[in-house]
Amino acid sequence: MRIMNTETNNDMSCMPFEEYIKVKELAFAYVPLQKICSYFEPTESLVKGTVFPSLYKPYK
Amino acid sequence: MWIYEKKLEFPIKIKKTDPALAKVIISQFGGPDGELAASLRYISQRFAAVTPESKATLSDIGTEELAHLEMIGTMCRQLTADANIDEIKKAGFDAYYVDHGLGVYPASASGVPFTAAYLQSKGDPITDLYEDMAAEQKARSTYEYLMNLTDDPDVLEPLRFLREREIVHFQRFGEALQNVKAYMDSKRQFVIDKPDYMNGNKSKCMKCR
Ligand SMILES: [Fe+2]
Repeated sequence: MRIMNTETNNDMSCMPFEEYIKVKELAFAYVPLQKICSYFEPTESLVKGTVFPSLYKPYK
Repeated sequence: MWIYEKKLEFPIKIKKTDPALAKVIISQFGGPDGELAASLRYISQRFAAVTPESKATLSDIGTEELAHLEMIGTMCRQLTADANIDEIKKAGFDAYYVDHGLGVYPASASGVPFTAAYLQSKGDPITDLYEDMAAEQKARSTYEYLMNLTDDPDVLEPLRFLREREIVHFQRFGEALQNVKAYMDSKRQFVIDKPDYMNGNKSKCMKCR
């Protein structure tokens, strides 16, 4: 299966996560909320395992 | 309620018989960080979830893990279906063969049968989500170890897909954690009574469902 790369990224300045995180306390974990900037094509998403380029983190 | 779709989440067409590989991949079926444990964990924890968002996250991911279980079972079956006795012996698959033949049995790579002791359902929505995030990381590590053990592209492709799903799940549980935290911290809780099941008051637990 060939892995394509058809990311539709129109805006390079778009950060795929919330940029300002208000830390309110110790001893609590925080994963930034995702913001949607761009998508992979539907068929490509089904191959890669995600529709979001920002969450695509291949092993090798 | 569930709807079953008669197809795999990701196509699996393994051409090369490899019982030795099936012996380790089975760990993602019934092993400590496998898909069955993941599914059962989320589908159990969902009953103690406190926000509709976190409940949906647990239900959806718990359901998807069942689809992953189906993928792993398919892989194990395809890796062994055509194996002859010589191949079974040479691959060290004979111990498994004696107990389960070429059937797919939920056990770890080292042969330990599946146990619910692999998972928790703590009744504390924050604690549960921390466990879920850790579980996704452990599954991701397992998929990387499995990928290190093969160079068959027919096996690597579905493993790569499943590993990527663990990363997405981690993000979703992380978001659910913020959602639950916000609910727990919200002013509303000082205005209206917390439900009994959030106070650890099991005897009056009328809303536990
Ligand atoms: Fe997962």
